[in-house]
Parts: sequence; structure tokens; C-alpha cells
Amino acid sequence: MSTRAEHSTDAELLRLVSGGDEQALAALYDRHAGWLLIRLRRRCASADTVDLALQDTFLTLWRGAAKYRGQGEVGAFLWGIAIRRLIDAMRRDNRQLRAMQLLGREAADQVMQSAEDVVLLGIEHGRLGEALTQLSPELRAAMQATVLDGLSCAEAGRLLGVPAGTVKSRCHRARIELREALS
Amino acid sequence: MTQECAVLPVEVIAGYVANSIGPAQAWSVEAHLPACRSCRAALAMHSDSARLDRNFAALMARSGLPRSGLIGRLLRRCGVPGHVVVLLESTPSLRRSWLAGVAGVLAIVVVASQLTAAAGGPRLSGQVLVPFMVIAPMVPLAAVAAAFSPVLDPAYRIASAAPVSKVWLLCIRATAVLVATLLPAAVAALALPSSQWLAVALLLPAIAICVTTLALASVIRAELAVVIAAAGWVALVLAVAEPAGEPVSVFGPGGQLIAAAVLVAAVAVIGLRRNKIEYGWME
Repeated sequence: MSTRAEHSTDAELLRLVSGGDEQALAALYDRHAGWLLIRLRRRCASADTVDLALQDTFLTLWRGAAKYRGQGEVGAFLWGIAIRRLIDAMRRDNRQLRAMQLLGREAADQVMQSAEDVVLLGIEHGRLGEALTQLSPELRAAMQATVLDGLSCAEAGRLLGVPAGTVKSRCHRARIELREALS
Repeated sequence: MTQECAVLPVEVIAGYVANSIGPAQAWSVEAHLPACRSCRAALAMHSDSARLDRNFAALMARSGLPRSGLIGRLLRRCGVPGHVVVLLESTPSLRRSWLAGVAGVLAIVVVASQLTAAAGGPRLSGQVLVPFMVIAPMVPLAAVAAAFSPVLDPAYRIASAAPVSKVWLLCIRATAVLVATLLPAAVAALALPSSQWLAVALLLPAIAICVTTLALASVIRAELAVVIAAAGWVALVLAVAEPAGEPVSVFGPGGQLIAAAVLVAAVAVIGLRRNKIEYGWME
């Protein structure tokens, strides 16, 4: 790999990648694919879907379909693409799942699992941590999608498999519960 | 990795990977990650490198597929289906080099006409246009011929074996090529001395020549059809130009009527011969 690509900043790499530079693509992948993969894995139970979303993320950059405008963190920009590619990949899966549902019921459970992937194991000290832990998994997932992942209610709904209105009302309820727990 | 970041201890990162920390800590990891390069690197240490390599190989294979250029992306944005965009982008006479050649030829003709007009004065105005009249309809003709040439199109065999209607292929490619070459020809006509109306008048005859060639190609060999159409057009222009001295009359009302009639006849021939085009043409 060229040393030029290795010493470039992320923003420079992004520009080179959208201009068709393969070495820049490799360097960008080396730098970011690892953490994106781990974070994507927490959002979806299917390894195949996560792999596809990871590839699609870098293909989006490669085809110049997403432009980094030099504002904000490159990491946040990349995650914004990755989570949306994951939603797209999950929707394609869901279409297949719906077809499978006509044949048997077992497919439906997988969807529920991936939506409520969060496991409650550790207990975090501090009042916000406690309050978060006490939220029901549905409310927390809605907050996570809209606050942490920066998705719109419609996008979050597609990720979680519920209508956009449900996401909105869950976020509203979650905020009320958090406020009560913290006051 | 440069330095250990103070925000996230190693065991928190390990817990995040193993999904063994509470939601609050997981949230703080995720909120911190986009901003911190060293924590991203620390997290990436936990990723499955074989899986990353496998995904990179798949990514490279997929990235090798043709990239859409500016116009291709614009067409996609306008709602043209992806497969049609690829079909158009792989057309030899829609490549940038070909279109640059078209622009070059037209520019030379226009400059030559301008120079001749400047030297000869208004008396020559009719004759001055002869080179342009000969060349301008040839430009789309050559482009249409190249769009279906086994020599110039590397994807010719793929196109002829593809399970798509050949008539559809013919229509869509010919239309795109005609639009892409007639526009520069019309613009060039605007730059000619004294005859701005030629920009519009040359359209119908040029289209008629191209469609006639395609109709001919369903009866005789394609190369022969192109040569006959080209020679026929040159002979016609010269025949009209010589005795009367007014070659522009080829594009006059009479000429337009004849061009329209020829066009209708050629379309009818293509319609009648569509089975031949569908099954035996691109052999």
C-alpha cells in the first residue's frame, strides 16, 4: 500500500475514494471497517446482513454516492452511512422473511430477536445509567436509534420493524420516564 | 495505535465487544467512538480479521463493476433504470472520446465555412454550406453505425446473446445516439455564416438517413447499408448543389417532405422486418 494513502487524513481519503482511488479505499477500509463491523453487529443478529451492510457502506463511498462536506467527524459520517445501509440490507432480508413466513413460522422469531438484541447484564452506577437500565428494551431501542444513531423516526422504524409513529411515541415515553427517574 | 485514550478503559471496550456491559456504558462507548481515533483502533483490535478480509475481497469484486459517470448518475437521478444506464454507457458512440471527435469534426467544418465565407463574400453563401451539409448528417450516421458495430463495441457479443429484445436495444441505443450527436450538430449549425435555420432543418433529414440505414441493415449487410446511405446522401447534395448553385434547397420544404416520407417508409420497413432483427440480425 502506498505511504501516501497511509498518511492521509480521513477526509482526504474520502475524497480520493470517491475519485476512484483503490489504494485510498483499502486504507480507509483498514482504518474503519473493524469498528464499524463491531458496532453494526450490535444492531443486527444476522452475520450475513451485517457483512453485506459493511460492503455496501464502502461501495457507497466508492461510487461517490455520499459526499463528506467537511463538517463533523468522519467517524460519525461513516456510521451514518453504515446504519442506513444496514437498514436497507435488513429490509431486503425482511422481504425474504415474509416469503418464508408463508412456508413456516420460524422466521418470524429471528426478526424479533434482532430488534431486541440488547442484553441486560451489567448494572451501571450513576443515575442516568440506572434510569437507562430501567427503561424497557423497546423504549431503549427507540432512543438508541434516534439519539445515538441519529436516525429519523421513519428510518428507526424500519430498523426496529415498527411504524414511525410507534418510534415517536416510544421516544416520547422514554424521555418522560428518564426525566422522572432523574428528578 | 498512538496513545491510550483516557475516556474508555480497556475492559469497557472488551465488554462492549462481548456485549457484557450495560446499556448506559454501551451508549457512552458509541457516543465516544466517532470522535476518537485511538478508541476506534482499540475496538478494531477485537474484530475478526478473517471476516474483514473476506468482506474486503467481496468489496473489491463488487467495486470492479462499472462506475457510472456524471451523465450516468444524472440519468439514474432522473429515474432511468440502472440496466438502461449501463446499456447506454457501454455504447461506443456515447463515450466521451467519440463525442469529443464529433465536436472536433463539426468545429473544423464550421471554421472552414466561416473562412470561406469571409474570403468569398455573400455571392458564395450557398456553396459555403456544402461541407457542412455533407458532414452534419454523417455524424449521427457514423455514431449509429458504431453503436451496432462488432468491431467497436467490446460488449457486442454479450449484447447479442443477452435475453433482451433486439428491437428494443436498437430503438433505445439509436435514440440516445441520435440525441447525443444531433444536439452538437444543431449547435454547430447556429455558428455557420448566414443560415441559422439550418440547425432545425437538418434534424429531419439526418434522422431519416439514420433510420433508413437501420432499415437497410435488416435487409443487406450492415456495413454495406452504411456505405450506401452515406454515398447516396453525398451524391444527392452534390447533385442539387452543382447545377442550381443553391444546395440549401435540400433542406427546404420539398426536401423536408421527402425526408419525412423516407422516414415513415424506413420505420415501416423496420416494423415489418422486426422478426428478422429480433432473431437473425446481430449474428
